[in-house]
Amino acid sequence: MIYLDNAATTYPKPPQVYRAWTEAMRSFGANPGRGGYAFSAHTSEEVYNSRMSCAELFGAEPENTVFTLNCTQALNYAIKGIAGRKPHFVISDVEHNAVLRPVHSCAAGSGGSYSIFESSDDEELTLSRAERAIRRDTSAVICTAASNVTGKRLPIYRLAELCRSKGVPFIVDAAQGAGVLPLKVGNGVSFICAAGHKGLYGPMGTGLLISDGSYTLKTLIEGGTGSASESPVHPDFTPDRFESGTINTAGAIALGAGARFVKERTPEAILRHELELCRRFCNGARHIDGVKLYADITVGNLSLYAPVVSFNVRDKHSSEVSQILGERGFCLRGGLHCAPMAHKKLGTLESGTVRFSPSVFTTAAEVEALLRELRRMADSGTKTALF
Amino acid sequence: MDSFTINMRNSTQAHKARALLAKKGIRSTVERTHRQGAGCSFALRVYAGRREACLLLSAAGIPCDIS
Repeated sequence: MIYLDNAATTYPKPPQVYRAWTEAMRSFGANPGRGGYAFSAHTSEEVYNSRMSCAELFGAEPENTVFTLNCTQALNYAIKGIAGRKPHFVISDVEHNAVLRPVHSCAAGSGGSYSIFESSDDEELTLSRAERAIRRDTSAVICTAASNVTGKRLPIYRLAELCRSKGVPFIVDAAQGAGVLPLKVGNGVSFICAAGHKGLYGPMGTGLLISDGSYTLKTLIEGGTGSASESPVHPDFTPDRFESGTINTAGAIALGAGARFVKERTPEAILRHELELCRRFCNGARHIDGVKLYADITVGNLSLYAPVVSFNVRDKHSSEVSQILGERGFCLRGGLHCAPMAHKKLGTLESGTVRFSPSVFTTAAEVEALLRELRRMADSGTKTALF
Repeated sequence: MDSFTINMRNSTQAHKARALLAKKGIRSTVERTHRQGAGCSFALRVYAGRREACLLLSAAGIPCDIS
């Protein structure tokens, strides 16, 4: 099996993440932050160490680093938490449903609205369009660090500066950026929402909501936090405010191991490795008759991309292509990737795309194997040939 | 060894304070407590002089709320 769907979740995980998870299940099994006995205290300490490891990656304080179940939950907390009475939101035209749906739901449910600005390869154009969309009553601007379909990066820091100049909170969807792109809170970046299980190499069932501490979010869930427990009023301090009930303790501890792995390898080196594989894939695929690339990553444009490449094969639906590749041992996702707006922009709403997304563990040999398979399919005259 | 206790608002703050003091060679332990009128809470038992510990914590924005 050759796994190339790391934009969905990374696989495999680093050995230290498996070890951390197993050890957490065996040795850190008390409920953290609840009991006063040593077992609970040690578990609390291990959770704190993980929180600190994650916070450091994003330039945040540990108290502003909240463990969530995934990036979608973090985005829901941020978007619905920051919304005003009749909220107005601004989002880009390549946002994932994890942004679009809570924005839509929040706006629709309260007489609010949202504006979608058109992103462009021309950064100045992107910024001017975003600026025109921002109003005096805008509750927040939410943008992905990089599209999970096109791989194109948005000018996050310039957008952050724009939002800061207008006093508007800026929420970054870091699902595709965490662990590879330089993402830090502050300087206008109010919130970063990340998946724990993608570029941070943690287990599924983990995510992060990280803030610069500038804004207090309304809660969606209240409950026991192990703190100030006599009061019926939910705590106003983080991370407790967003960690009601028992957290995914083993997941959080393993996520910490993933964060430390990323820190040791460095996001820059990981990105360099993955983009080189994307470049190699594009270089080969571009010469296969019938393969259409939706990103052409070359040595000259690496800085414009996160490591994701979408492609299609002639007039075949992407789900059919990914199905056949799957039968031949290649794991790539086909379809809309829960990002219909990006596909509308690409003109692939009907067909979807097949997505190639490597990880730090993907090898050049695996990329070459995929290219050989695509070429084989192109050359084959059998009934199952794609072309 | 003599010690004193500082009230902490939550587990995270307590562990942050512990880690901060540990970097300066000051031993402390996180304890689960009960605060009148507040309920379940956390405290940091510090095995060092109050002034030194409180200066370090205050510099990091952690109030030295001695119980």
